[in-house]
Amino acid sequence: MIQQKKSNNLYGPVAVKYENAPTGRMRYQTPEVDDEKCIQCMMCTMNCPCDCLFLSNENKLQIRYDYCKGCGICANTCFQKAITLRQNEG
Amino acid sequence: MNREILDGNSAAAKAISLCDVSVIAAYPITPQSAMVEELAEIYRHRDENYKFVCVESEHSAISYVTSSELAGARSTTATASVGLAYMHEVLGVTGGCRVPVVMPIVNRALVAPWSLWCDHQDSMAERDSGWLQFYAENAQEVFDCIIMGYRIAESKEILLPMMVCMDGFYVSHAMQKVDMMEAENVKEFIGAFEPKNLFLDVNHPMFINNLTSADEFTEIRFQQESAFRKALTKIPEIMDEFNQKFHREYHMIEAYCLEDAEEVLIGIGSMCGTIRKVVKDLRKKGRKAGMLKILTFRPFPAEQIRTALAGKCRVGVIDRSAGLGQKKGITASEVSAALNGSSTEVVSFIAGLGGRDISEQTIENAFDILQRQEMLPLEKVFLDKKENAMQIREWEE
Repeated sequence: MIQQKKSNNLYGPVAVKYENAPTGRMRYQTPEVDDEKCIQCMMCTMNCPCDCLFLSNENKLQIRYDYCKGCGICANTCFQKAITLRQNEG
Repeated sequence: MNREILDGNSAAAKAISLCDVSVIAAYPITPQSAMVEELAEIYRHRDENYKFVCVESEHSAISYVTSSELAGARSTTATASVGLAYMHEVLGVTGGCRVPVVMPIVNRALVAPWSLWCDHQDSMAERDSGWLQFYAENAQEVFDCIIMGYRIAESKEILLPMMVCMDGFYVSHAMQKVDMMEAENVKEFIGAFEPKNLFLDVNHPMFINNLTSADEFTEIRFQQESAFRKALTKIPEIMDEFNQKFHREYHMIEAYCLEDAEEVLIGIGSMCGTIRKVVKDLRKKGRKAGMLKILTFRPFPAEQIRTALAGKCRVGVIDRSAGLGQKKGITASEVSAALNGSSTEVVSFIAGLGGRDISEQTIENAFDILQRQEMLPLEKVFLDKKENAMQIREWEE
């Protein structure tokens, strides 16, 4: 079995860990959660195609902005209208 | 050392078989078919460590080869003309992922008009795909460039794929004597295949060719560019090593009677043999003719060309592709850029399109233009064009 000697640098487009592919950088609108309105029904977490919404230890809904592409599905599935989409500036 | 009479296609097949290539995926296309047939025959007799795959297209061939090389097997394919154009999408992947495939290309014209014959447009169209490009003059150079190619492409500083281009029929089907070398010497020179960069391994997973935003795209292109820059210094070193081991001398550019020359032609590929002959004849007549051959088109040896042509007044460059819509041909533009700021005038000649022979007469005409005309033409000159180019078809209603 051929094995590769591990070197320090790899060249070209490659992700060797999850953080190497931060797709959130192409987002043009940003979802924001209103904690007052959110009842933690978890509808948004089930529908997010990128698994970017999760409950924090303090039981608050949070968003992984490194990977959120701003598709808006969470805002559209929220019964409480607790998620709003803020347009990015510029 | 054994010596055989081979055409360019066989020389490429023999070189590939000596280089311990494990996987070949290829689709036959004129004028490359004979090479694939010969490789299929060689690989039919090999054990299960070697694989010859019949794929359904060139797009699949290069995809197969790129992936199998990423999985740790030295792999190759070969193609020509529209086959290379069909590979275009994946050529960028091979180059961008820095997969050091060495691929022979048999130059043939691109459509339209449909043509089976020699023209450099197919590989010239891929000059920015992130591949190294060598243009071989004869079967011996095809053989040697492939052997050197593996050392160059797979060297840690470069890691770029490489095209070894030969002129369709003029090189691919013309029988010549080729000096071969022993398999163990070749093995010693190029070494066993060892993955040095991206590598598919279940124990150390990698996500190769992921979507990359503007945040990192420029950096990855710069990595490629710096590999081309390193190649400019690394290639002469490897050519030198090749010469020491096998006693055949190669340089990125080759000068012939250049030192005191007053009229210089620059060529690429098989036309250089004819130019050399014409230079020899003109020298006998007392004219100071000279030639410069470009072997490596990518990376383009701009500095070397500038040094070699220092002090020359008039230089002609023959392109075997039309370079449509440009003031000068493709090679001529690159040479002009290399000479930018110097007083050398560059004349662009187009000749030998779609298989037309670049004869001694054609080359003499080019030298005559360089020598006799007071005002050199600023736009490209179609050297061997017929007078009635615009009236070759008449249609009466």
